[in-house]
Amino acid sequence: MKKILIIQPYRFGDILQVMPVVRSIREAVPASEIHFLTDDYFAEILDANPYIKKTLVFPKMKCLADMKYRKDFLSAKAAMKDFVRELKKEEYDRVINLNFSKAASRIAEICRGACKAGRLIDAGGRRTLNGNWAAYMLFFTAARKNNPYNIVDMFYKVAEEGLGLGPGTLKRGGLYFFAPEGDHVAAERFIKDNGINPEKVVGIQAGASKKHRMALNEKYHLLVGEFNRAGYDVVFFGGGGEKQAAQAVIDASGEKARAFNSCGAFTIRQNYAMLSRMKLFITADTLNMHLAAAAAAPVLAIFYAEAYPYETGPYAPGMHVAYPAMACAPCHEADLCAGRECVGRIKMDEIFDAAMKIINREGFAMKNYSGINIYLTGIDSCYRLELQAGMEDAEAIVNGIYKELYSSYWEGIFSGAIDAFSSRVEDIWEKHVEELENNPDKAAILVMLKEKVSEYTRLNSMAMEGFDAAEALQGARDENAKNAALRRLSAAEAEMKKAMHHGEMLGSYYVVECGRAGTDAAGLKKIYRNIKRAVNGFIFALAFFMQKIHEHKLENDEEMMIV
Amino acid sequence: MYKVSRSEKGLEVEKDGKKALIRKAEGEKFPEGSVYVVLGSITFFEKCHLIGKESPVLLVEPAGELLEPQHPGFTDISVISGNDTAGIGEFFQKISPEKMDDVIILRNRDAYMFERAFYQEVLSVINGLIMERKKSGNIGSFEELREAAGNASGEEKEVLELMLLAYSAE
Repeated sequence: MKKILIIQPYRFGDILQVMPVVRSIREAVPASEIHFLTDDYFAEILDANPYIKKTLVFPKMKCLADMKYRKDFLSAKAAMKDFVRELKKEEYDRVINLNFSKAASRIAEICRGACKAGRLIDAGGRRTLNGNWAAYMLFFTAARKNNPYNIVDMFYKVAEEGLGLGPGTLKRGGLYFFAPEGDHVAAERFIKDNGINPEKVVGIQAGASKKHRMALNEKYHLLVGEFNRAGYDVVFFGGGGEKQAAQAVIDASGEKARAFNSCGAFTIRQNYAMLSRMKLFITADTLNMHLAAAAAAPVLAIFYAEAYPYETGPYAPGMHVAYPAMACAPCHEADLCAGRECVGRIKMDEIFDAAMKIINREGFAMKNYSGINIYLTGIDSCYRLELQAGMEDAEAIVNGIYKELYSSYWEGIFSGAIDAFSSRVEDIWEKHVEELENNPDKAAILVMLKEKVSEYTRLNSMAMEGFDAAEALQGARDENAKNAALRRLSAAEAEMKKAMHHGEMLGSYYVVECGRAGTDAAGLKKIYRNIKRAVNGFIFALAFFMQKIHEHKLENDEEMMIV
Repeated sequence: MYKVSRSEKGLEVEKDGKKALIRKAEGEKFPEGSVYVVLGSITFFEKCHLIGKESPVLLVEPAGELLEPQHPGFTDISVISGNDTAGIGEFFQKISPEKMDDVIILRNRDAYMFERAFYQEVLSVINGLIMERKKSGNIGSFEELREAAGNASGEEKEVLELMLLAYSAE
């Protein structure tokens, strides 16, 4: 395997999150030549990356400007033609498409490669998904609460599968970035020219690319005041579009506030250099959050319910994420949510308190914070981004157990070792036993587990119905029998889709597998058999947990009686 | 291979069924506003009365020993030399599709110049560009681009589809 193309054309945050994978591929396959395809907005900043041999530039911005604003379609066409020819000049051994946009999927199809992973769209508009983890990545958001993988973990898994490497072959590493010395000089100059104390300076980013991830600006002047009183200068970060909003916060902080507006003042590389000088960076789920993590600057990320730390939390150890402890989080309904209670949960005095504890390297006492959890990031023994909380509520613990069960299941089924799933249950119990033991609300946990078992029992009967109907279709001898079987299958399918929309990943699995393998009777039987097996495994595992908690609860009750 | 034949107007160069007329320079009138591609040396240009005309001019000379691009008197001139056939594309990018019928290719007196591979390549590129820009001249909006992408095939379709996707990308 010599020549590898990795496709990730849009959004710098996503590009940055692919960088650990690029480095790991080079380390695992030193003879490889990695080409990276991205758009013309971000191509330049990859020049300094020593693991990338060549950057292929998709001229999106040029074409957009030519067509939309200059009305020069010919110039756009010439640029796109050059790109297509450049793309086709290369012959790749492997192509890994880590972006599922239509453009990326079409490009992945057009380029010449012996083996392609990810999503492809051919000239007829037909879509294909190559790789189990690519399918998982496309559909996981349907049941994001149960997803245990950070997006970087998923990129790793898609790449491993696409490169034909075994699970865990690519050594996991955190985010990184390169900025030449000149960019650091620009950061130094900003600090010097503004008289900022380089030893006591924190950064804040109030804006975000998505409005539901954005903090309410009026809250941030409170933070400025607190930091100033503690002797810290504050630098506001963001793009040019955020400059005015940041200035409004600074103005609201008072004339004597030591707060400085760097929004729009820096290139991405200079921003990285500037962030690396912060003693702490407070931000929403933004590009700068990932960039600060790459710079190893301590991060305190504020995630509202629409974002999810498991999915997009900073992929580096030792970072912090504040997240509302709410049953509705993570949500897809931010637009419909009238109250936005998750926003109200974030209180700036608590954020400041947590910030100073991070700066001073003090431990957390989570009970001091009302309605939010602060997670500490790490890389766990399964090479995943791990989030550790000071104290979890009952629902968070149950979700944590589901996540473990799910990850064990997906990894088992994708690697053909699904039988190992059952033997993992005790390990999962061991992993969670401490937080279960310390949690005062075991009764609530038991109720939730019981509810989950009921859900799975229902899902199991649906899967059995689907399996039987598929078998009936296979053996149908006349048109009537065939139609009856098809009606039963259609009803089972409707239930599976309903399960998917309710956040059940096995429903997603059904939809993905049907999309990939077709829906002939034999294929459906296989899919339903897998679902049945998984559901039974989950029921077994949950029953095991219930039994253990029940025993433990009884022991505690007895102790209490003795006392 | 090119087939070169003489006619009253000058030289006709033909390849793959496509013809290009190479006019004789000396003694001819050159319309104002046409687009001129001149194959040959400086002594020729001076004779061909292009100087002072409001016309885009592309000078092509393999040896690269020609005049300064800012040669006094030329209002809009581009020069390519060596093997820079990409420069021809850049020149034509500036020319609107409707002007493609007004492209005049001029040669110097050396009737054997088209036996040289460089000029054959240049002619091939020029003819290709003229054809393509004439065809693309119909695209002036997103809807027309979508229609053109629907009707195209092969590489043309790939290019137009990616343009569409770039247009509609977030």
